[in-house]
This record gives sequence, C-alpha cells and structure tokens, in this order.
Amino acid sequence: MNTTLPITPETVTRVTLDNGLTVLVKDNPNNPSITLRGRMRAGGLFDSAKVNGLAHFATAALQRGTRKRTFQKLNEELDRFGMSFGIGAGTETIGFSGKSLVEDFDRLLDVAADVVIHPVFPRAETEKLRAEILADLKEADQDTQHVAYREFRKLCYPVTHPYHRLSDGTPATVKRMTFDQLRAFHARYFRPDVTTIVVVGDVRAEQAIAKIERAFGKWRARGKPEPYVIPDPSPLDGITRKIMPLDGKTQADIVLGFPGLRRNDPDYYALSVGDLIFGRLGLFGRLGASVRDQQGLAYYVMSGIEAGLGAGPWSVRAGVNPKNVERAIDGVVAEIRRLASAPVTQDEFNEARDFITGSLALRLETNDGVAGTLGEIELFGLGLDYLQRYPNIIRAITPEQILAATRKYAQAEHYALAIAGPVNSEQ
Amino acid sequence: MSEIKEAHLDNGLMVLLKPVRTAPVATCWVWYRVGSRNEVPGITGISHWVEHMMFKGTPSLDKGEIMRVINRNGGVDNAFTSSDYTAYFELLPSDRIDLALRIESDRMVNALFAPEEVASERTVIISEREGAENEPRFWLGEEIQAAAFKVHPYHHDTIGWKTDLETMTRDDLYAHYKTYYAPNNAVIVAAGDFDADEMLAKIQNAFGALPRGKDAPPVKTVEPPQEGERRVFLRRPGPAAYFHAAYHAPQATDPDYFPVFVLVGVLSGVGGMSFSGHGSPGRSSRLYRALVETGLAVDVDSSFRATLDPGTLDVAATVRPGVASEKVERAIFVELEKIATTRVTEQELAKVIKQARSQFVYAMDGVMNVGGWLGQLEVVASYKMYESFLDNLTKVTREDVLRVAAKYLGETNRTVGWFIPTNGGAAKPRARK
Repeated sequence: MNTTLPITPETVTRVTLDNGLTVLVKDNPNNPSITLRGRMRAGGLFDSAKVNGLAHFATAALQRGTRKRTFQKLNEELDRFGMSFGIGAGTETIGFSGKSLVEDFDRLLDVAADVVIHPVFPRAETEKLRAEILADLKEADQDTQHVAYREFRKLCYPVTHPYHRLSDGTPATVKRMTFDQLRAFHARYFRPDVTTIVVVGDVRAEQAIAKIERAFGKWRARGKPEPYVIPDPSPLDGITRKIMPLDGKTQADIVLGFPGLRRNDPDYYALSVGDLIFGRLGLFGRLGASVRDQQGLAYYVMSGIEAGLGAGPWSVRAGVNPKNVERAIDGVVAEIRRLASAPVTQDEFNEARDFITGSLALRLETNDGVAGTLGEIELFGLGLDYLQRYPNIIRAITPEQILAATRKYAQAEHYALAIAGPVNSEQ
Repeated sequence: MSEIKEAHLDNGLMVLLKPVRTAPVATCWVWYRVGSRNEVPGITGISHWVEHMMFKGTPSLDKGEIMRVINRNGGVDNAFTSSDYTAYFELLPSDRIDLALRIESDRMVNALFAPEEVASERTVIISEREGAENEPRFWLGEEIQAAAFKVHPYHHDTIGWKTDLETMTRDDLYAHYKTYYAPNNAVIVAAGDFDADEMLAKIQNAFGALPRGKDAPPVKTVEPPQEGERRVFLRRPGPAAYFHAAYHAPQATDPDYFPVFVLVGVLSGVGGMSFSGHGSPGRSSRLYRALVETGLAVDVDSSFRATLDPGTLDVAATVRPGVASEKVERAIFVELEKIATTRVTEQELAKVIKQARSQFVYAMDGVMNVGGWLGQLEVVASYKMYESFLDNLTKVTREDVLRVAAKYLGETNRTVGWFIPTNGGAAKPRARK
C-alpha cells in the first residue's frame, strides 16, 4: 500500500521568482494532466460600499480580451485543446484555475499569463459581461439561499466591515462602474508579489518552474502592495432577525450564526472540531440528528466555519417548510445552548478526531485535491510539513478546549438570523 | 492502467474490480437496477425514498450509524437515485474498505423500514422536493418531462409527485425494497488500492451467502413516436424567462449514441465529463456564439444523458432581461436546423474529440469517478463501453452527425417549454424588517 503523504518538504518544490511570485510544484506521474491554481491576496475587501462588486467585475473582465487574444479566440483555443481556465474574485482572494493535458501545459500557461497580466478590457465584450452580471444578480435576488445568506452577512458584520457585503456587488454599483475603475483595479492589485501559483501533475518540478518563469517572469510590480487589512469583527449584541418574503417559493431558507475567527487563530482547531460535531459529522452532526432525523423538519441543516485571512462567519443553514420555521430555529438554538453548556462526549470527540486524521488521504486522492490543499497551506503560511504535524495538532485538542472555543463564538443569546422564502414579514 | 476484472457470484451479484494503486484509498459502489423508471402512479418517488431508508437502520446498525462509522474510519459515503438506478458509495482509506462491504451486504437485505422512521423521513423527503421547487428550472423540467413522455415512466421526475410522497405507506416502501434489492439485481464496483483477487474473495465472503431474489419485473412500456410538437407554458413568479426544449433521443446502447454525443458537443461543448455526464458549456460552441455572444440569452446549454431507455436531448436557455422570448427560441431553432441540414466542419469534429479525450483523462483522476463511471455504464448499457468510449467517439463521421441531427432534431420530435415570470422578472420583497 502506498502510504506516503503527497505533501511534505521533500516532495513539494517551493520557489520564489525574482519578481516575488511564489511557485509550488507537486509532480504526480499517475494522470497525464496538469492542474494549475493561482491565488492573489486581493479581492472584494478592497471595494468600498460605493464600488461593491468592482473586484468581481474587473476580474471576470480579464478573460474578455487580452493583448494576444480576443474573447472569441481565447474560447476557441481553450475548447480546441480541451483545456479549461477560469478566474474570479472572492472577498479575500482572487483565484484562477486551469486544467490541461500534459502536452498542452505550455499553451495553458500562455493563456493564464496573458489573462492575468495583459487584459485590455474591450468595450463591447465588457458591456456584455456587465449585462450578464446584472442578470446573475437579478437571479440571485430571487434565490432563497442566496438572499438569506446575503442578509445574514449584513446583520452579522457592521457596515464598515468588508464582510458586511457579498463581493458580487449590487445592480446599482455594477451599473455605475467605469472602464477606468476596472483598469485601475487590475493595475493596482494584480502583482506577482502577492501571487502564488500551484502546479500539480505529470511534470518534473524544474521543468514546471522554468515554464512558469517563461510565462510569468517578466511580470513586474511597482512600489509596495496595498496594506492587506481585515479588521476583527465585534461580537454581536443580542439577537437580530430579518425576514425576506419571496414570491413563488415553497421552502424557506434560514441562516443563523455569528462572527467567527481567522484561520490562524489559536482557537481554530478546537472550534473546527466542535463545528464538525455540531453540524457536519455523519448526517449533519448533532443538528442533523435532532432537526432532520428526529423531528423531520429539514432536508438539510448544517453548520460551517468560514475561517480565512479574516474572521469569517460561523453559521447554520437550513431549508424548511414555512410552517416549521420557528420550530427549526428553536431546534437549532437548543443545540447551540447544549454545545455551550457541557463538553462534547469523549465518544463524539474520538469520532471527530478519527475522521479528521483518517480522511486526510481522501482529500489528497486527486490532483485537484492536492492543489487545493497546497494553496491553503501557502495562503495561511502553514508550512510544507503541515500535513505531517496535522494529526498531532488534532489529537492534542481536548473536549474542554472545544467547550471554551464554542462558548466564545456561539451564544444562544447573541446571534444574527435571516430567513428568505414564502414567509410574512410579521412572522 | 490495469484491466477491469468482471466476476459473478452464484447468487447473481455482478462484480467489477479496477485496481488503481496510486493513493492509499479505495471506493466501493453498489448499483441497484432500480430507479424512477420502475415506478407507477401512486408510488412515484419511491425508489428515492427507499434510498433514504437505507440509512435508517438494520438489526445490526442503528439509524445514522452508517455515516458515523464510515466517518470514524476516515471515510465518506452517500447515495443517489436517478431514473435508471440507485447507487450507494463509500470512499475510504484502503485498509478500511472491508467496512463498506459489510455495510452494503447488510443493508442489501436487512434494512428495517421502522414505521416511525418512515414517518419522520416523509417530511424530510417532502422538504427535499420543496427545496427543488424554489428553482424555476425544476418546475419547467418537470413539466417538460411529463409532456415529452406520455406513457413511459420517464414521465415523472425521480423525486416523485408531491401527492404520492404524502400518501405512500411503509408497506409500499418495504415491498419496493424487497422486489428490487437483491444480489441478482445489483452490481458492485470497487476501484482503488487493492489486489483484484483479494478483493473478490472479500466480496464473496461478504455477499456470497445472501439469497438470490426473484427476477425484478421488467419495464415493458415503450414510448410511442411523437407525431407533432408539444408545448407547455408555466406561469410563476421568477427572475427571468426560461426556455427548455426536449427531443426524444436514443438510449446508451443504440448505435446512434456516439453520433448524438458528438452532436451535443458541437452544439455546446464537452464539459466536465464526470460520470453524471454534464458540465459547463464551451464558449466557442455554436449555441453559446448564437445566443450568449449575441446578447439574446444569459446562458444556453444542451445535454444528453446515457440512459437505459430512450431519453431526451435537451436544450435550455435563460433569456437575457429585456429580450423578447421569441427571438431566443428562433435563434435556437435556426442553429438546430443548420446542424441538421449542413455537415459540421472537420475542425468542429476534431475539437469535440479532443475535448472528450481531455475530459476523460481528467475524470480518471481519483478512484471515485472511476467507480462511478463503470457502475453507471454497466446499468444503462455495459461497463465495456468505458474502455471503448474514446475509440467509438473517434469513429463518428461528419455524415453521422448530420444524419442523427436530421433524425432527432425535427419539429415533430420536440417538446418546447417556457417558464414565464408572472412578476415581470423583478424581485420585489413585500416588506422589510
């Protein structure tokens, strides 16, 4: 049996090019393909409320035309060689992702560099994109899960915090955005010294690095990068609740939660084990056992922590029949209370620990899985020996630490709650 | 890559094994030859509900215990139901794969269907349907299926009609289980880090003693040829107007399967070839150019699933706000007529084949997908289709594509559906608080 971890300081090559670009390569000869991932420390967090959605729009526009390729030519090339390439902005980072057969790796890199470094923002294509974004926003505005989550974020973070808004913007802001703003965003935030590129596939590390050097080596940044600051959110004061009635819906979607923590917070591991027990393990953890299995109230009810470079939310999501909304909320709040009142049992803890440590191999089974994990290791500065240390980090956690962490972040008396669906605003 | 090993136990269980020794993981899939095509009015949705009950306990495994014990061993598991099959899978560190075999053999015959569990699952199943009902495309898809198939059970969606979900009984569910869950109506597929002979011995050990069941009743209904366009209109609140057309199309075993696969590739690209057979459309494809690039639609896609009985080739689009629906429909039909009257180019053909070849390689990364592909193809046609897939695709000619386009894309063979938003496509929350 092959038991070697694919990510160790010995098996992954990490270099920084002269222009500050970080490159990580993991050679995997088992599948004749290449997975390419890039990540930049930039995104919607730089958008003020007035230009909410700028990072998203500007980044999506990069593919609409470059110095070497029109939008049509780019699409034709990707399709003709069976490659894929996409780029998009989230709140904390901008990411790109590509895939090709080994024989087309050079071509994929050429496309990636062209899009990232040399966009031209052609007028007609960019206007078409604007119309598509506006249509997406309109569709999202009647999507119960999206609306509930969007409103939850507004309640959970103050208006001055970048997490108050979703990064895709609003119809008003997207309509107003100018070409100068799009160009300026790219010029200001796209820089090699905030970028990491990960390559996993059937290619030797030295070769891959030489190819990336050829494609991205001439990319230069001027001056210093913008300071990257995400303020810590303040804890919630009491319970806030918002109801968004939507016509023509059968089910109500609920999001209930709290500001959480950063990925690098010392509480992170204890809280993530607590979250696993609370609303993930098995069929949605304790939440699933009570709200779905015993009470039959929801097809899905689950929890999740969005711990990133900033303190993203810890939230519970559920979809329920409108007449069961209050019962489901009561059920969720009861589980929050239980989580904060006594340590998880040793059995629960063992189960979570064994899942986390045992399932590592599953996550690393594919090139995409390895690339995703490598990207995360680099973004949070975890070190290439992280996976070797990881089981011991998890084993060292105690139920008492979990109790302390969950109590700190989740309180039955202080939460934000948004509901969207066929409900009345008085409900 | 290693060969696929095929074996048959005395009780009729078909076994497919594919060692892939690249990572210390293994996957186990059990595919039952039952899905919503085996359902009649009154019990629509029953196959999917039975799938849920398979997690609700056997005499040796309490409800909820299956997922927990899999998780505790570092694995993940789930299940899904379609028109043609019900599939269960586990992905585990390879030294724990015996656990999956034990669980699957246990619930193949011993699931309890406790009445109180059926009762609490009823609301969960209805909630699953209600979640789908929040999507305009779900409503439209359901209408289209019901109109396109008058008599064949592809008439109804796998989730089932709500009234049936409200009235079906525990005995209905248990009878369905006992009729279709037996070794002779199942295929077990394992892929991953193991030796094929050792795995076969383990499977023999876990499943060999289960009794062979009665032969499952065959589905005899054949959909008669359609003799004229059918149209459905749906008026509900929604954010946009949606178009959907379905053309009766061949099943996976039909010689026309590969030419139609290429046809759809030329229309909208060969995206994300996971075994579920669908991905995002290629932006250099004909439909994207004619509909999205021209600003008529926000998105457009065509799709064609490998099915056991003749299914449909589907084309769907979302109208861009402010554009007249008729324009979108006309532009789509112009493209379909073009491909049915003029041969595709050599370049288009070559592009589709290269895309399929790449997607096939991508989909082979990871044992989960390998197990999924083998099982699905075996249930709808034969797992042997997996090994010859790319060869068969390469044999398709431009004339073949023209011939199948003319054969299937005619007006009389289509069902056209429109979702028309009754609130003018605008989101107007009634009140804010």
